[in-house]
Amino acid sequence: MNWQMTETETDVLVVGGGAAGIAAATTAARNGARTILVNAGPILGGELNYGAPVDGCLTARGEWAVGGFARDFFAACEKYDGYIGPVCDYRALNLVCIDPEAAKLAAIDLVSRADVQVLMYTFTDQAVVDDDGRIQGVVVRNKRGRTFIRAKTVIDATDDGDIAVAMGCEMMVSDAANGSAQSESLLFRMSGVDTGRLLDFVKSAPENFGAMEYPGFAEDAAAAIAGLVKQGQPKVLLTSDGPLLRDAVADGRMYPTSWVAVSPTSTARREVSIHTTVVPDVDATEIAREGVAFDSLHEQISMCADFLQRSLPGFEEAGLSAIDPFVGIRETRQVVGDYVLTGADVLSGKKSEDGVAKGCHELDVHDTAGHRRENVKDGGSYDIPFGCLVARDARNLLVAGRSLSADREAHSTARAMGSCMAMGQAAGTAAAMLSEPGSVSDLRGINLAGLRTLLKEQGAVLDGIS
Amino acid sequence: MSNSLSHRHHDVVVIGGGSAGIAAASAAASNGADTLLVDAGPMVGGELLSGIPIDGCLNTRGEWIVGGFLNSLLDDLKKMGGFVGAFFDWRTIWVVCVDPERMKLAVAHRLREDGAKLLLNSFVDEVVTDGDRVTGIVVLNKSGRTLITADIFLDCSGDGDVAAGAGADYQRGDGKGVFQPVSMVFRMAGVDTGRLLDFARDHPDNLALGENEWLNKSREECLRELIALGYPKVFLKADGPLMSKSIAEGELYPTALLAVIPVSADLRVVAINSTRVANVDATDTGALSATMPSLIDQVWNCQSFVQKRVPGFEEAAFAGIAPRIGIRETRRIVGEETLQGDDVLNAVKRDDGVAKGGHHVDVHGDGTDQLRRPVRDGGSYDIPLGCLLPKGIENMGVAGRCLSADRVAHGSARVMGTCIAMGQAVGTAAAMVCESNVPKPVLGDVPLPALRDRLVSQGAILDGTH
Ligand SMILES: Cc1cc2nc3c(=O)[nH]c(=O)nc-3n(C[C@H](O)[C@H](O)[C@H](O)COP(=O)(O)OP(=O)(O)OC[C@H]3O[C@@H](n4cnc5c(N)ncnc54)[C@H](O)[C@@H]3O)c2cc1C
Ligand SMILES: Cc1cc2nc3c(=O)[nH]c(=O)nc-3n(C[C@H](O)[C@H](O)[C@H](O)COP(=O)(O)OP(=O)(O)OC[C@H]3O[C@@H](n4cnc5c(N)ncnc54)[C@H](O)[C@@H]3O)c2cc1C
Repeated sequence: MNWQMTETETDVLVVGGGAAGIAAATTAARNGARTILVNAGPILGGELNYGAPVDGCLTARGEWAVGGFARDFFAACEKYDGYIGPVCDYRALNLVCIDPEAAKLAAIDLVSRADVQVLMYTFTDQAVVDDDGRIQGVVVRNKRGRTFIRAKTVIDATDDGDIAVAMGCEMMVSDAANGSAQSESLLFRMSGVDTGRLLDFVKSAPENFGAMEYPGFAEDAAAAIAGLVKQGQPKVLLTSDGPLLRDAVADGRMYPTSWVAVSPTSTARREVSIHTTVVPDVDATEIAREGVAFDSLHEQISMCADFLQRSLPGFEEAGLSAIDPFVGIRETRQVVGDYVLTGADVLSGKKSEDGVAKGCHELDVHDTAGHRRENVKDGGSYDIPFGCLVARDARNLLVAGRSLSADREAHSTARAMGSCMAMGQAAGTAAAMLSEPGSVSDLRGINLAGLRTLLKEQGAVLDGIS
Repeated sequence: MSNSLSHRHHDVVVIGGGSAGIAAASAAASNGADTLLVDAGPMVGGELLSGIPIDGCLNTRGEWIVGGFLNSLLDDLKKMGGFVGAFFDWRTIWVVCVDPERMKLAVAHRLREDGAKLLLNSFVDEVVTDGDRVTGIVVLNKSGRTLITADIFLDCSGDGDVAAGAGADYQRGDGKGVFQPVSMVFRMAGVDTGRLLDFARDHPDNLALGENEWLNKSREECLRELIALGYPKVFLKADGPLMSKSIAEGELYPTALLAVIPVSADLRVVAINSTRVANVDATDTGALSATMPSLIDQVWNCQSFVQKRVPGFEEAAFAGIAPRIGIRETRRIVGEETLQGDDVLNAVKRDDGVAKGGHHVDVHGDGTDQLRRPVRDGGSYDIPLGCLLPKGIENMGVAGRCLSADRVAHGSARVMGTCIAMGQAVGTAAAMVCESNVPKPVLGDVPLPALRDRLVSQGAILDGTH
């Protein structure tokens, strides 16, 4: 192995290649900054590749709340035959369905065409900070050895604020992981689904399916079900309020869970993603950050696939088609920024002159008090102020994506992948502005009006919707 | 990325969870050693998860030359419906075709049953040595740095990272910057096997067939047998009219092959192995990452090509890429002994063999170039323990792609069936030297007859075949 430390220099360093990171890197590079993107895994796109629908792109009222990079990303998915588009769940949300396999190609396509220098399979080791509280860069480690990447601006798009932590920035760590909410998300895909049969069943046995929480979708629950059926997409939520799932759990054909969400991923393959939660049968302290849960969850996947095949009409001929890496129990670690987005901001649909991105996903928290879900006021959107992306304890560290500065409630909506892409675009644009010759070197000095104008010119949605 | 260093100890630590590493970890754990398997990625299984078939499990004559761990894994896979079949390709080899998605479940299940512990998303950063011993490795992950000490270390990293880090000598590619190409395997769903085989029957000049003299069969006979098998396992060759025309006209990138491999029990999903970027040193992470855009362009190019030009694919849809870039060749660690190309080609047997190989020497080059030479008389060769013991390090074994071999021998021994056999051998040897409880066990001190007996009693195949 090569032990020596090499050094390289760039304008913008983006760490983390998920929804936020690919948006940030692509945007920074498109705006003229020399950009390096570092990602620990073997592929770009993070959870965009896992088959869950992309939330946070359209409000419940049906208006697009994100543009720019997110729309480019969807266009790239379409280029790789993998765009289904907006789908309504007739419960609370409009979401965008994509083929996660196309998403993998789309992410690489966009990032590489923007001339971002990508380092995959690369782990971050240390943040280098000067006496002024400026981050000088990050030391990364891969098979080549150790490299100090010196950067004018660093964007922390790691899912956990790893760079902020390494710098010693103050973090908000929620106690969710210590509460009762130790459920694990299980996500896999099945192909060969007969949507017609599935929807016929939804029509004939609607009591099994979730519908109608947001009043704007239909007059009543029956009309919502009718809408779901008419839409013609395999987008349904099987809930344990109905006999099908409840009985299966009761007699042990299914592990205990309150819902199974079905979402389309590919029309050509007649494929859907299946998303449920499960309480793992291993000691939670064992499920360390390293992802140990993988070996303990496979039985549940087989069990759930069997249950669907045997019991849910439309799945008779369907088979397991893909399993993605487990995400592990999600620690919720937020960076403390100049502004902390709150649940009240979100629910009231608060607009802000400092808004650089928009969120619109429902509030969705599991805690000791149970599971709470609530739509943004009037099915609209809220603004994410620039301060949510600026680490309070640093001068030139931006955060984007899941580790944004938000309280627990606000976080549960702003973490949606659509909002992550919007935040990424905002962070990437701001970082590119800082790298222009003669620019200020502290994020606080940035011309916010200029940033907003540039974002809007590049397709971002910042105003003009509910 | 915290600054503290935590510590854990195990009897045996296996680095790398590919085909060699999972076999090594399972063998060590099931033989009683407290065993930890560390991998940099989010899943275990390595290339077993990419869709390529497991080669080297049977020799050309159709005798099984690998058993033990392979059998347990394949039994698990059968129960999960993920075993497609073992059959002769009527070119030169027997292949074991598997469903890579169900393989993810089978690998996790097997490791759990055998009691191996897992540490994922963890990169081996440093190797701590004391004289001729490795005393520990330091891994880097989201929890920071962990020092892992052990009695025996097994380097199954494909690249020999740990052995190299401990100071072992190694060879790389041809020594002059030539490396076998890296590839991105991908999948297509909805293939019409009947039409594909009709095409093969009517246009056999496009197929690689009867490449092994030992077969003593005409191309026509081989073709008849292949069609009679009924699997979508066809090997389109670059010098056949279909591919050579498309390559010449620029419709398809230059490549030596387009191998179609069945990966689902209903034979409607296939993997395609065709894309390639040659002469990249895959331990240069920047260079490896930079191949990604060309690889995905080739993937899309190839899927469009088969849809348009290869009957049976008219209705087929792109169904995803492998979890990571496939790497054929990086470092070969210099061991106590070095497997010689002549021994491989001459099917040389040895009293001290601990694993068997039988795959033809298969060295891919740039563009359309590929060297393929069969093992004599459709037989197998033996791999002695010395090829798995890095010279000068007394408590380390290597298995898999980084074994000690010359470049020609490596072209055969690198396949997954052989990697599994080597893994089981070193894993078992490691557990045996730990059993005696002597301080500072030396891997090469394992009594060979006892090791061979143990391996055979646990299903390994060491004798009695051609
Ligand atoms: C239970 C649950 C269900 C959800 N379901 C949905 C849904 O249906 N729809 C939706 O839109 N959102 C959903 N979300 C939210 C969403 O999945 C994530 O919040 C979002 O994907 C985060 O995007 P990101 O870019 O911040 O991080 P990720 O997509 O997680 O990507 C992070 C990337 O950074 C890399 N990385 C991390 N740390 C490092 C490091 N230190 N060094 C180098 N690389 C690093 C990782 O390898 C990864 O590639 C869900 C969340 C939860 C908790
Ligand atoms: C395109 C392609 C086609 C092929 N076709 C076939 C075929 O048809 N049949 C066949 O049998 N073989 C085939 N081969 C060869 C075969 O797949 C590989 O040689 C074999 O899988 C190597 O197995 P391994 O266990 O040695 O390494 P790998 O499967 O590469 O596993 C190594 C593991 O080590 C981990 N690792 C590496 N470095 C570190 C580190 N520093 N710290 C922690 N973890 C680390 C990696 O994450 C990885 O999981 C093909 C190879 C390629 C690339």
